[in-house]
Amino acid sequence: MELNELKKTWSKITPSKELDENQLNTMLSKRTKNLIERIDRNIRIGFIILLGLIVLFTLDDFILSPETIEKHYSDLPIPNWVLFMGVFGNVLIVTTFLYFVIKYYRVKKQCDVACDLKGTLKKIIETLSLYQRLFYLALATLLLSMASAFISGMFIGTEYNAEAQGMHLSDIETSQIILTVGITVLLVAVFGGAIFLFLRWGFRKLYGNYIKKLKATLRELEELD
Amino acid sequence: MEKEFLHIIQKNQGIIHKVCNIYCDTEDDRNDLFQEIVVQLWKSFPNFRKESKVSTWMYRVALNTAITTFKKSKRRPDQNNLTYENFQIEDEKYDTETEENIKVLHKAIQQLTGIEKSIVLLYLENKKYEEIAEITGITQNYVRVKMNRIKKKLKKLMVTEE
Repeated sequence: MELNELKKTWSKITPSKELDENQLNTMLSKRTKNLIERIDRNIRIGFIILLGLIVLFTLDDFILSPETIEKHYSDLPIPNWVLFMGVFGNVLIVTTFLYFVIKYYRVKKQCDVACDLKGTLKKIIETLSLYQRLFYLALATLLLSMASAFISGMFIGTEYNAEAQGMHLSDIETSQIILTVGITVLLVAVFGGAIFLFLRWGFRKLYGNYIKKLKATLRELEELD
Repeated sequence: MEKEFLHIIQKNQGIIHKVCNIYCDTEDDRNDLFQEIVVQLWKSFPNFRKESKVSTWMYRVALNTAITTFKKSKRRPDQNNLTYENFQIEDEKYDTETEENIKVLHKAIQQLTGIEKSIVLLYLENKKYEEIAEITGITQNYVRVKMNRIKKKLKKLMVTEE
């Protein structure tokens, strides 16, 4: 068949089944959420969980912890760097959270499903990348607060115990402090690393091929453009 | 609004059938995609301001859905469905040569990439390069270049099929 016959051949075919309006209406009533809509919903749930965590950490840093210290360890001075670490961690988390929310709504505004193919592909790829980074942000938030709480807790606890025994922190052997800090850093790193790798593996398993396929399609579309 | 929507879709459903047919191998996949496209069209209908043609809007949504639909597992294509059985040749135009040509053309199209399928479908549907560019989001020049490449590829594939 010659190429100029393609259109002629194509024009001769018609769909073998025609659905009536009732059948089409039934399809609308059976609708479920597709992948992108589910991811959209998950991102919004993620935002709510993160916001909850931020509120919890802030309450802990500014109300719960100071109250506990006041009640039980009132004679113990809290160094400025411990307070600074808590505030810095919170500011970092809130800033990143706000960045994500702004970026998400910017991506959402780009176009809807009736947008051209290139725009739709870009939007879906950006949404998926955002979803992936949100996973990591949640993890980083958790690890950062864990690490910060541990370091301050360890410092204050050690100092309190030392003072109770009539000693000062500087009296404890440096090698022992280094060993304790080393073991803890190692534990946090192994624990955090394992969670990170697990999440990354899960994400790639679920969406890895899909993202690759979308990126390849977009590359093909932009090849010469 | 729902009544108007259903009327438009019912009248232009050939567009959705054609998209489903070139993007899916099995009857089940075709039915799933058909439903997904109808749902997506319904969701975007409130934003359809009739500035563009109904067919342009439908092609955009249908092709976007077909290309970006996430398939969890690839169903094994039923070899019997790899024909144009979802379509029929209009009675007055029927002849065995046309039927054979349609089968060859369909098999060749099945071997194209997702983007190539969408461009060739729009070309076969007699869309101007300007409209193809509007639907795909690439420039008219690139549509021309791409179409020339696809024609060459199709020619090779059809020779192999024949």
